[in-house]
Amino acid sequence: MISEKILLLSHLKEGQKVKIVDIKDLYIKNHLGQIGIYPEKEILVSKISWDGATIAIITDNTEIAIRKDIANNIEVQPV
Amino acid sequence: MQSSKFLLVGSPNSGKTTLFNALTGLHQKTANYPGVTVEKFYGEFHFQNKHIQLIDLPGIYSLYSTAEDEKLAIQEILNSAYDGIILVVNAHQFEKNLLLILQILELKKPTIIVLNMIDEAQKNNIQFDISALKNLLNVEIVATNARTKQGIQDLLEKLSSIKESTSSFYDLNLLKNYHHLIPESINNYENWLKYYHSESNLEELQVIVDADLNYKKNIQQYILNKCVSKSNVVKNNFKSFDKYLTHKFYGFVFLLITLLITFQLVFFIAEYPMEWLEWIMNNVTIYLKSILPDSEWANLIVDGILPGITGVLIFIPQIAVLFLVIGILEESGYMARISFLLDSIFNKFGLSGKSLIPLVSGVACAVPSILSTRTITNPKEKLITILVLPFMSCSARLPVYTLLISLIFPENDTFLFFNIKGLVLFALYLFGLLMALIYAWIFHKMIHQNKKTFFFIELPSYKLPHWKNLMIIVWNKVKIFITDAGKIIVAISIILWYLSTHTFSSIQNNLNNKYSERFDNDSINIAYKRELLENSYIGLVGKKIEPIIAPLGYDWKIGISLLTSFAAREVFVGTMATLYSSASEDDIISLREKIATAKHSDTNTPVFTTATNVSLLIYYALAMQCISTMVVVYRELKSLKWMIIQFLIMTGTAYLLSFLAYTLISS
Repeated sequence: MISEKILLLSHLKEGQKVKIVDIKDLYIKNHLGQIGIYPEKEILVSKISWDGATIAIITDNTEIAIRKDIANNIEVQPV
Repeated sequence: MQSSKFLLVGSPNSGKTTLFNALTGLHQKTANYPGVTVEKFYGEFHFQNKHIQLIDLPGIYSLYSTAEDEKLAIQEILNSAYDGIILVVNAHQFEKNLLLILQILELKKPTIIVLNMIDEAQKNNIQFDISALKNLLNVEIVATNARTKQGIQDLLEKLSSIKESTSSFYDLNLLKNYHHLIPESINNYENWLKYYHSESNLEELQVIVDADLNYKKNIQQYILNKCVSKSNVVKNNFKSFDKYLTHKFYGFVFLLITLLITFQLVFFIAEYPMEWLEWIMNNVTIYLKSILPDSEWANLIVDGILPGITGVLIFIPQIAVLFLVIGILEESGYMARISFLLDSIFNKFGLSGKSLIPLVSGVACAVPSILSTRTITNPKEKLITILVLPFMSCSARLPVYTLLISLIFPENDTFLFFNIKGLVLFALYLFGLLMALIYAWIFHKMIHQNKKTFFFIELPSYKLPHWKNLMIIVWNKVKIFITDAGKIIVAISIILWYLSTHTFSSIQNNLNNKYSERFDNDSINIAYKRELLENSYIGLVGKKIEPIIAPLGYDWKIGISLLTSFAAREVFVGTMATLYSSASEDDIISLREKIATAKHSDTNTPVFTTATNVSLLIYYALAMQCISTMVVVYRELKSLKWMIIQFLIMTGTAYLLSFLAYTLISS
């Protein structure tokens, strides 16, 4: 069960800075881990596409765009 | 002389290929987006009396990557024989690269780490304690800026002392803990990775990958704390205009304007050098005609070889301008933003944002673009991208388009300040994209896939395009056009000249008898040439296929051009040049004029009416007229079925729409 403070990355707005709490799917978690996105990392939501289907985040000076279906698996907490 | 072989390894967009070019003096294409290198490239150089072979591998994020291009690199790292690894790291994104560093060092191969783009890291207040990093990782580290060649000399000198790291960066109990999932014989990190990449079902191995990544995460954090200082954990360094370039509305407006300007430039800037080249080639033809004796060889040169060479040369300016603009988009980092903008749209058609780079590269040539689909991890999206990619108008179509557009719009008319020819050209490129999307959607609905996939696009930071890299991009494209297409065009022009000026001896004898002793009369000479062409080997073949193509508004000469341009589309122009040179009343008028004034011999009506030209434009925009593309599709998909389906769909659609266009316009 997701607590009040924990949100899904896919529900955030542009400009929100958050910390990753957990990544639900192990397959997605490992793939994100390989590109430097893992729990405890701080990320900034930099862009959201016109229909919200693609979300760009910045972490460690790297900007990465992922799809909403992946972002749905990432639990975050505002910092 | 001592010889060594090194692998150039690094994450995508780490400046690996720029370093490769700096070391070898070669001119591999670079760009400011990930996935430029999808194959391995060889280069070599000499340093201090040593021969060094360098292999540039596709970029990898980690040794667990499963994308096809990354797997190619991983296989080379794990299974081939070499003397060392040059591991290129983007210093600006050091943290992201740490996992790969730890994995590579764990392989216990001689390795040197190159902290590339060190200038960009410094600009962003990222400072390295290199000696502390060296001590922790236990390998040589060199800071470089491959663009300016800063640090290259240092790297070369340290290559001779390259060694393997003696530190360990993985949990020695990792494999023991999971021997219920993997064979007990796997007892080191290298063997584990080899096993991982040999398995088809990776799902159950994810738990081991997770344990390894977690263990390394702690080491990564320790290294960062000890060796790297930065001003801010999360910092948006991206320029304010990025907000507009990727904006939900203005982003698309800017994209449309960019594309519109691109195609205007292709006509506007390239027009002048094209006219100069055409003038030069016409004068060369006049000069050679005046000095060469009237012989078979002279005819071969003037009517066979020269039109073929002209057909290649005059289109170089347009190809150069188009790729200069595309190069600027790639080098600046804007191309990756276009991928972001279009991803959600493409996704609805069964494609991905990663399809954009192959599709845009398809504007150059479908062959390398099909190879670049290896960056697409989703097999269904990759298949659909390959199937629809040849709908994108490649550079081989450009000569055909410009010739036909000039026939439809002979004057430089404008519409709302835009050159009409440029607008029509732009519309043709959009038409290709539209057809690609329509068929992508159809394939998306037809093909089903259950395999889990992972999608992401890295958006590199903006950079001012480097003029030298732009020149390399333009030169490579022009060179490919001249060498690959040019060779075919000239060879086919010579063959065509022979086939269009020779025939069976019985027919030749009849013609000789009919026109004997009357060759001093110019008009009779032309009539002879025309009759010879119609009865030549090629003329006889053309007439056989005429019933099939007549509904599209084509005569037998166009039919011959369709057949010969199956080798390469641009051969169409060379073929037309050769065929219309063979029977032209005036050999020195330009190709465009010759074609514009061509008439049917029986009815004396123009061959190239607007209906025929539009029909031809549609045919060339859509038909699968490229044997090289078909071969590469077969090689990449390993499927004869998909290659045939693609051919039938493209050529069938081309035939149908050309027929409809011709019928509607001519009625």
